[in-house]
Amino acid sequence: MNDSNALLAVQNVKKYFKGTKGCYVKAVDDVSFSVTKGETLGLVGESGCGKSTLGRTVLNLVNATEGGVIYEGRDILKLPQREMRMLRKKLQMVFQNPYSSLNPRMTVLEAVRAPLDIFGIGTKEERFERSRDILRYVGLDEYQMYRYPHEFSGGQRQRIVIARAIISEPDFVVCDEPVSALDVSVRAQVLNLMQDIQKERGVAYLFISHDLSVVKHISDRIAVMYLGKIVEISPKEALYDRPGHPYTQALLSAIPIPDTDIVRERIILKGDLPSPMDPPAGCRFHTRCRFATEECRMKEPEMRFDESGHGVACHRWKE
Amino acid sequence: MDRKRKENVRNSFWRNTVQKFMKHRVAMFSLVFLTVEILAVVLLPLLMDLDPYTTNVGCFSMAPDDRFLLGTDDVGRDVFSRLVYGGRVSILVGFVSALLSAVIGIPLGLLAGYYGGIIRMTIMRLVDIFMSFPAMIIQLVLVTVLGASATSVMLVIGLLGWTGFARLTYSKVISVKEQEYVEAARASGATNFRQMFQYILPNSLAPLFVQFSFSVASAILQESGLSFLGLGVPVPTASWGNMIYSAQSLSTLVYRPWMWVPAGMILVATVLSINFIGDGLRDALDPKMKI
Repeated sequence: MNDSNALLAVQNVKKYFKGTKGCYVKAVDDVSFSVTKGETLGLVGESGCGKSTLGRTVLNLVNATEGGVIYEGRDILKLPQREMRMLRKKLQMVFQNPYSSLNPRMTVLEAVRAPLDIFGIGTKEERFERSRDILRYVGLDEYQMYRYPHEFSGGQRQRIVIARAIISEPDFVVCDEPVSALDVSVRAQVLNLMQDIQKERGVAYLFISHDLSVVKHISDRIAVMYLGKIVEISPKEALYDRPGHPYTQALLSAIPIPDTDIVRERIILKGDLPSPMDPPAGCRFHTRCRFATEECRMKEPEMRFDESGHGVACHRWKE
Repeated sequence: MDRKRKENVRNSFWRNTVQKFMKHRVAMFSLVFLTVEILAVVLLPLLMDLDPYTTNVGCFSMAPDDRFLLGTDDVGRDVFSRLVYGGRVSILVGFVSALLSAVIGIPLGLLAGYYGGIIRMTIMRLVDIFMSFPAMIIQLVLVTVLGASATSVMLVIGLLGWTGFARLTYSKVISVKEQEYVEAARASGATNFRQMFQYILPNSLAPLFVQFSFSVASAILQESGLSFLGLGVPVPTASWGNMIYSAQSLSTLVYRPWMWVPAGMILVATVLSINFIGDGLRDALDPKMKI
């Protein structure tokens, strides 16, 4: 998928962490995808499959082992530190845990204003007004601006974190499990806020989550990750209607349906996630796959796309 | 309008801290004591006719009476006057040396913790080298070389005391810098400098306040130690240390307690109260701590 209107193109990114005895943990192994302006790309996968590492690598918060991320015609992974820093105005991040991603010694106002302070945007008064407006927008009152993060609930804090991420008007925000630490009751609230922001400001999200129903709610396209690789990437409807990869099929069959009359076949995956230090040869999923053949054990499948942009990395797709 | 708001921001932080500090009774009591003491040593010489230098001929080693509130020392100087003037010197030496240590140690610890690698190696090995010196011996040698004076005592204590600050800052920084809000700051584009001084340092300060208070107390004690050995603040200038020096004579120790007991007691009281204040500050500065 090398469409020319891509806002950000991730190309063959790899991130290996050095382990003991010369082993490498292949957290992200040769991942490519692109994000278009104003869309939400959901990224799902089980714990430890490299979702968060991928998100951080894309923003150059951890150094990629290989590969590139093209933004505005430049590979941001190869930019000098200073230029990268200036680009962060346009590429922001929302973290998983709103309890630890706010500086406990900064008031909410200072925290939200920080990106403006950092990039020297506007005069003092303008910065203040923009911070106040954006806090109001995410639902905080003016009198709460001088309080410290510990005085707020998780949902409020995550809204503060979102306000901080969007105040510098970014094009692209990596959201690393932004609602997993929140109560179910405030999840919808935060998700709707994020959707409203997207509608009004045209920001693109890379939305990382392990919760398929959350991803379904917010995403335009969805990428499924398994052991450091993207195994399937597709527009939302196609993925939920016609999942191509056996792993995706298994994941989808695990979503509970709130209807007792519908009986559905549950696909139970056998065994554990193999170690990313020593991933299986061939297709990485073959150890747990119902359809695995000799070919799957030998040869790694390439990602193949159909005409609708639905891509699956499986030898036996469409069989 | 905007200025007023800004004051609000500052006020709420300090108001919070002050409120919590005031609830800490021992610390509050110590603060009052220390304030009274500092006011006394600063103001008393202006208000009263104190003379710590004149030797009153014929009044050697006199017990306390109407004329000499705390008696006279072995050359006939008024002990009370010397206690007040000595307090000026001792407290000043304590604070200035501790400040010097902090100003050197904290930035070095911050750099070592934040950057790691060769910078950490260099700084932390330097700390190890400094810590492996027997401090007292080095101080004795340095004071001898520099010449005994209040300034050289401050310099010597301050320059050898920074390692504690550096180590403590370092150990705190390596844990704080892994916090998600530091990564969040980096993701927002904060410079290394901003990350260090706006995000990491403020969150590492609490133990440093305690360290500072210990450091002041220890500097006062070190000054007394040096003076006790005759290498601190030289006579005729008074300091609590060189007043206790007089207790080196056995007859003074046993028969003329007025010469050294007040100095020793005020020294202990000062050191203790500074330590209590440090404890109180540590609790008050922690925004999550509810007293």
